[in-house]
Amino acid sequence: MLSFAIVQLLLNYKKGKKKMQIEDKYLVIRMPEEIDHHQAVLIRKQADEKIVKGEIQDVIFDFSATRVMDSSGIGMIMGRQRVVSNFGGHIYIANASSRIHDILCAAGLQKIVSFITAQEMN
Amino acid sequence: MMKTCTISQEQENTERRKNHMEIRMPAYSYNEKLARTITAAFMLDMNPTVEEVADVKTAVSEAVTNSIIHGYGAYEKKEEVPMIRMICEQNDLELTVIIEDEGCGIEDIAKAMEPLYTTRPDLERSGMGFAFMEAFMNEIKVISSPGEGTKVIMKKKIAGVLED
Repeated sequence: MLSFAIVQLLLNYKKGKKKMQIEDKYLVIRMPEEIDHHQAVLIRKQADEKIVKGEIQDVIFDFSATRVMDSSGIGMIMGRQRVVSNFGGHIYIANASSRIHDILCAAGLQKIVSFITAQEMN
Repeated sequence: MMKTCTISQEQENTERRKNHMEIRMPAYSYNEKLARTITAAFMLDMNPTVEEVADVKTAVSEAVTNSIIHGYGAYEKKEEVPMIRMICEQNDLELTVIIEDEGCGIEDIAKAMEPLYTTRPDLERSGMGFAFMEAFMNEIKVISSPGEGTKVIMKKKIAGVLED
């Protein structure tokens, strides 16, 4: 069950906010408008820094701003899943459009991550 | 005044049905964005839907990333950054995008195109590149042999937005 603070965070995305934010053991990552290999490498570096430092159990990828994503995004999420599962953590995907949802599911990602639906946030 | 604008627009649309452009860019990873943005601008004339633009952008992104990561796998070590050639063609409402590199080439093209098959799991590649190109475009052709570089030809019919 998601805490109130997390839900508020996911519902109120505004441009120019912090790209990564830690809120009670969750690392919330705001995904950029377009995700390619170049962006994925940057996110991977920053996220791993924060995850390795500790204090984080689960990672939430917030896709509210994302319009275009290629397979690099999938590889990046799979990689983070491997990292957090070492600490018993889990990956959540929030605010994914149907397009992003389909792209992620094409690679079978729904087996290892959880999608946060709008209903769960209400 | 308004009316004159509409008429000239219509004339323009029926006349301008063929177009092409060719661009060469160094294989930097930040040029993935440049490549797909240029392609998106090129196809604007075909009046595409938002979905169609996103499809083409994703496919171009995949192809250029492939050239950078797999074709020119170790370009960081080379003194001169290799180049990627991109050709866009418009033929009526059909868009053709060609991405070409002079990299290491592909030995087994059928194997490379299999979903989830990747030679670079160390770089967190998912192996979905060609699968997405196939899914988002109508037609894809890969021409390659080891040491000879790779050429990816993608075609997409643009249904477009109907004008009033």
